[in-house]
Amino acid sequence: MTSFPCRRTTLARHSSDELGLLATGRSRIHTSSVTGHEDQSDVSTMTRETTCHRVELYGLPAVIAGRRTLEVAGTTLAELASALVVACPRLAGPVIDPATGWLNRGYVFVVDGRFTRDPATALEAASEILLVAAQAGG
Amino acid sequence: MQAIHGRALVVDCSTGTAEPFPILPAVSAAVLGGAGLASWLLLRFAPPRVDAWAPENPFVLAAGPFIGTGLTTSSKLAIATTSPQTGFIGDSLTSSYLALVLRRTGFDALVVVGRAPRWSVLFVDDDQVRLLPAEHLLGRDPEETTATLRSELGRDIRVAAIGRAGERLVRYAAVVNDGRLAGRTGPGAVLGAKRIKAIAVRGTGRFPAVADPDGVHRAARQLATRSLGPETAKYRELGTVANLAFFSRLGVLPTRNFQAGSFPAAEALSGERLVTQHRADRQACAACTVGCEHHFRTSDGGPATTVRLEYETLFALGSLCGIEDPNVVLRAAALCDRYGMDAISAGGTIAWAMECVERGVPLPGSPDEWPRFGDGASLLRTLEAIGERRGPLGDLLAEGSRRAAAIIGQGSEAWAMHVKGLELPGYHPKRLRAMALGFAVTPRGACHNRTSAYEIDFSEDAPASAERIAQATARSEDRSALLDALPLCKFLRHCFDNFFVEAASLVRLVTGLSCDADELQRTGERIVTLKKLFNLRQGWTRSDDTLPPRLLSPNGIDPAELDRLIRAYYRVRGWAADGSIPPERLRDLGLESLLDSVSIGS
Repeated sequence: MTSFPCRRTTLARHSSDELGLLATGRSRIHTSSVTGHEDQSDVSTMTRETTCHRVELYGLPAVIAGRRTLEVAGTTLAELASALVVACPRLAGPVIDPATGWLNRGYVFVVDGRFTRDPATALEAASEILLVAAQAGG
Repeated sequence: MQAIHGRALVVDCSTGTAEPFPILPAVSAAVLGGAGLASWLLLRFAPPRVDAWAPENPFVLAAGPFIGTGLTTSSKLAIATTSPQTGFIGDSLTSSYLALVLRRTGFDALVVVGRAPRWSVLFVDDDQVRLLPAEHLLGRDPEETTATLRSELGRDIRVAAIGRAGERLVRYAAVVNDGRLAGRTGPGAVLGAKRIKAIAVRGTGRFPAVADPDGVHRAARQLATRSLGPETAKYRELGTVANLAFFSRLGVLPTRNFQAGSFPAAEALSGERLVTQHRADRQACAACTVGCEHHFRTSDGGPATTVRLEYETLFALGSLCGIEDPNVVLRAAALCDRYGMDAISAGGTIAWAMECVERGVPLPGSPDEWPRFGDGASLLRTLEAIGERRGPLGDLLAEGSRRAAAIIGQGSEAWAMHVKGLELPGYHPKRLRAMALGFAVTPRGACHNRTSAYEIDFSEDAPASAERIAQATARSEDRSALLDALPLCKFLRHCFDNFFVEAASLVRLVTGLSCDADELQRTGERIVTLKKLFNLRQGWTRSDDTLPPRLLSPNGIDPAELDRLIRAYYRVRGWAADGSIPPERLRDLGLESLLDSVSIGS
């Protein structure tokens, strides 16, 4: 997977599950070209492969979104956070800082079991991504 | 030192006498207040190897210097006594208006010893103390008891009461005030043993003066503002019940007596579901701006019940017992409140019994009455039996899982999920190494609150080496001890950029002590050491710092790894390899006067 001109507004979409269904899987969307044109000269960019990640929401994000998962595209957590706001604008403010497009201090991603607030975290196609409160525990 | 009275009130229920006891400024400076002062007073007044039921076992209520200052979340009382569950230190914290009125009596702490000749209410009316008859209150739940006493003694009194579980010496009985339970380690049972149904307090004096009133006022406003930020949003919006679905997803949700770490029905019990389908209202403790107390109502068509619910109650009466119906959990939580019982130990003990039934190990009483995983009716019936100590089954389970397993035998000790006799809270430690260490070494027994070590496992830079895990766990334990001594709520811990530095600033403003972050960290360590000293004097040995056999299995935590973690923790603390505290370490912490505590225990 490589860099791509991610058109998040078209790729971000809600999953069909309502809050109440525990999601554990992921889905991948491979688009050979989101622009319709491939750059044959650059292998690193010609694929235009976009992975749509199923982000599992826990706590307030799940209540705000009204569902357990959102499917959004991104190659890094920064892109994912921006895509989440597009997919669910009500996350802006309580969960994601509208000014920065990044998580506010109350939230953290869990990527493949690792807690992180590093926006540069690269996402693999098979990455399991959870969005949870930073104050894990009681 | 400002913001203290410098004296405790010592009441002997056997003789009906009360007298002030001076708390020297050096002691206040060394332990501050709250859990620190309560631990120090327990060591001071308890005879070595005292039994929890003995009249000589002190029951200590201690306030802290921050109470009444306007600093948010500071209205907390610390309780310390010998635990009927562990035989070691039993310390609990409770938030309430009682903390405020106790401070206004002119005392920093209340020490209760002896045993009343008949059931009584201990009434502290400023500096007057009376033992009032309490026969008419017997059998009443804590809420009724409080209402009755306020109608009899005045609306300006505050009450800490026990329910029927405390009267009947259920070992994990709670002390209840303002609807909050100090439940862990069973302090309500100690009050029951003293035949004290309730402690009523009227305080009309002034709070002790703080060192810098304007500075405290400004700091209080700033802290209140920060307490409303994103760092506490989880507690405000959903409460700790938000943990359940996430923990199940991570595989750390104790399920069916820790036989699993994920619950298939987690979604039905999830905090998100509770908030959207059962939410009633939200309340706050005294002098708290966070307001984490979420109340939920039943929706099953049965008698309407509304109850406060936290994650620990939700897991213990839910997934731990295989219960899928949130209405059952809400009714079970209401029963624990009504009887005045710690829900974690109640759920943990019943889950042990459920596994006995599952494995074909007979329990006393009729098989029709035995609790079974997933059977909500049997859970509710068993809770009532415990609260009443009704029948041989209720009587057995009122003893807690450790003693019940020792009585039943047949290998059931292997699935009694406790440390030092205290049932494990809602963190399956199989995948949480720091939490596993914290459970094993904390003086209180299996407790998440005294270390908050799960935060280490859930952090971005979770340490890998035993030494670093031990270091982080000890520092987290020190921070928790300090928060409990000031006191401030642990839910504020993320509101500080540098906790010890900012806490030192608050302590200087309130008390006038010229302390810095390093000194406050040492204060936290000193308090942890005091608790350990008490345990040593009670006969603690290295074998007490361990985990239940189920967790130390090929599919669980490698016993050799746990041993490495524990030895690293002892090294970090400056303790000997056998966990004892060398005299020089006590001198380093200014505790040389307590040197004999170590030798007495051995």
